[in-house]
Amino acid sequence: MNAKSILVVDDSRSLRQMVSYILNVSGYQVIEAIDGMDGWEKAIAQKVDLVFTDQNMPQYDGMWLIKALRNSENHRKTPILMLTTESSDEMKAMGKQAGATGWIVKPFDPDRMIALVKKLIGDPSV
Amino acid sequence: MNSQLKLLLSDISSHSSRHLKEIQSDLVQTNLLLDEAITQLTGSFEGIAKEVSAYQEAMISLLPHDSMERTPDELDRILHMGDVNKILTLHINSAVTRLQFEDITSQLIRRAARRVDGLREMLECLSQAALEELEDEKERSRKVDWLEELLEGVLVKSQLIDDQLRRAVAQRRLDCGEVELF
Repeated sequence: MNAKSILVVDDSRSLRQMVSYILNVSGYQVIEAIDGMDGWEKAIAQKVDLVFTDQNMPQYDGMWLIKALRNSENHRKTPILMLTTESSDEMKAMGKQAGATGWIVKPFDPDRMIALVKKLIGDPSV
Repeated sequence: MNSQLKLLLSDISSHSSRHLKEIQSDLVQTNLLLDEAITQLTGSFEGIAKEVSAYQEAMISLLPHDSMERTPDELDRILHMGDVNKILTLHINSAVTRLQFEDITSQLIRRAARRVDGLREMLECLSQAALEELEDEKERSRKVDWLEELLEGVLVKSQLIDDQLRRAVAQRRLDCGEVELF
């Protein structure tokens, strides 16, 4: 049985490692990307059911990725969650405008993260 | 007088630049070490969780498969292992939340390193000014103009640093951040 795939985009190696661990333990398949462009290339090359993206990354940031995915046929409705240290209302409004589904301020709580993932895409099994 | 001023500017610029370069190098190295340490720590936590889980499965496999054949003591042990698993998950999750300090502080460190870099560029203004010709016989008003231009150059560089370094981290504690669905 195939597991649902979640794309995790963050320039921090340790953060990607932690998110991947939490999602893997819960049964989801994880694809990692190091910035917006890497995330975009991986999202169009394979099946992705949900995206977690950081905002502040070198060159191609989270907002860029959200806009790029929303302009792509396959990801108009894919849930995209911003996972970032940014917590200002101004940035959240920009994220919402770009097409983000939700906003998680770091540090994240693993239980709440998994609950949110299940709410958006259901259990890990396809 | 002019040559003394130029020497002063040149010395301030070169000494400060050297010290700032050292600070920047230390910040970059600190970030690399933090990243390495946290990546390895996270790996260790994952390893502990996997090993405990495998150990528990092995213990359960040694017990009779048919639950009717299990003694009260064996059933207690299974329940206890379940409790241990819950406690372990709680601790691992807590560690995952706390270990994110590295991601948050590394952003602050990178910001500090970029500000140091900007300060070095500001000091280059002084260094450049020190190289410019300013002859003793030039009248006083020209010297005032020169100093005003120098100050303007420093202020422009300073503003540029502020413009490029928006504060992205407001966290002062490692409490879990808020979650919001749009």
